[in-house]
Amino acid sequence: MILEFDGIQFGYDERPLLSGIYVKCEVGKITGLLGRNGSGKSTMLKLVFGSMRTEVISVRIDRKALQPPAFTSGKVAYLPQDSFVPDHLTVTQILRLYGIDENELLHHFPEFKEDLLFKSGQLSGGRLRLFEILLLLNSPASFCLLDEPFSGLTPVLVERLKIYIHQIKMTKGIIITDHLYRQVVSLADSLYILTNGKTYLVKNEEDMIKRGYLPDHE
Amino acid sequence: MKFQILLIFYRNICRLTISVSLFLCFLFWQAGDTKWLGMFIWTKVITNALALLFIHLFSRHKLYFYHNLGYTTTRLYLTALALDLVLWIALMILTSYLG
Repeated sequence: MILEFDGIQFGYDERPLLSGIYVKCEVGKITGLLGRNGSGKSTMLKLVFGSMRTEVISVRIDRKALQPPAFTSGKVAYLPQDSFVPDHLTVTQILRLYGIDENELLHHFPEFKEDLLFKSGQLSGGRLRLFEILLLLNSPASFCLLDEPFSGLTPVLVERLKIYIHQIKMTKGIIITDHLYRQVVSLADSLYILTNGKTYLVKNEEDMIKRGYLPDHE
Repeated sequence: MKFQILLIFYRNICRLTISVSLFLCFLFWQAGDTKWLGMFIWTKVITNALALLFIHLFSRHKLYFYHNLGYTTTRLYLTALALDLVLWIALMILTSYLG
């Protein structure tokens, strides 16, 4: 399966923010998305997911257009930067609502065994973030849009999560955007940079310097 | 399962809206007739709108929980309002029997 989106026209108060976008994400691959602060990465993912609206956008899976909002198709999941699970539900209740086998989760992250009966609001910030990421990665959606998944996680957890994402990508297409760019680069099969409202496919650090994402020290 | 998810969303506003419903039922019982019904309806409309506006402005990121399950914001809001309206009407009917 292939998720593609392009043709996005979006801006604030007549000021265009996104206008020349093309991103392709395949099941079995991880697509990295980098960009400076305020370049529109989160906005772009929200527009694709459908939680933000724009008149002009084309989101397709296997060349078939998804009717907006795309999330109603059940094929696209989105991890926002802020916590999104209800505080009053327990970890087990949330897993059931998302149709996830808790044993699958515990197999890879056994530390959640002690949290199963806790309400999500009782989890620590890092544990909650990890839980939300795992929730979406194990959801039935074929494509996951992860907005800064590594923020709030310790380096040890980031490494474990990277291994897990690498395993689970066999059944999912994953788009990751994060300011920990080395983590994104090490995971991504293809990499885009968003700058001046346009996406550019980049292959190496030289391209990132050229696109103004990394500083040129020479 | 679907109804359970909608109930979970309704829980976000139900403390305020059910409190208002019970208060209006009490006023209805005190008044003993329907002359204030128009004001009661407007009170429900305004308080429900305020409850949803509060979520929309301050807890919007929590809506992703429902979006990731395929529920649109409009569907959540309309279902919560409908559920609350049905509950209020039922309470008002019960109150009228208390006479």
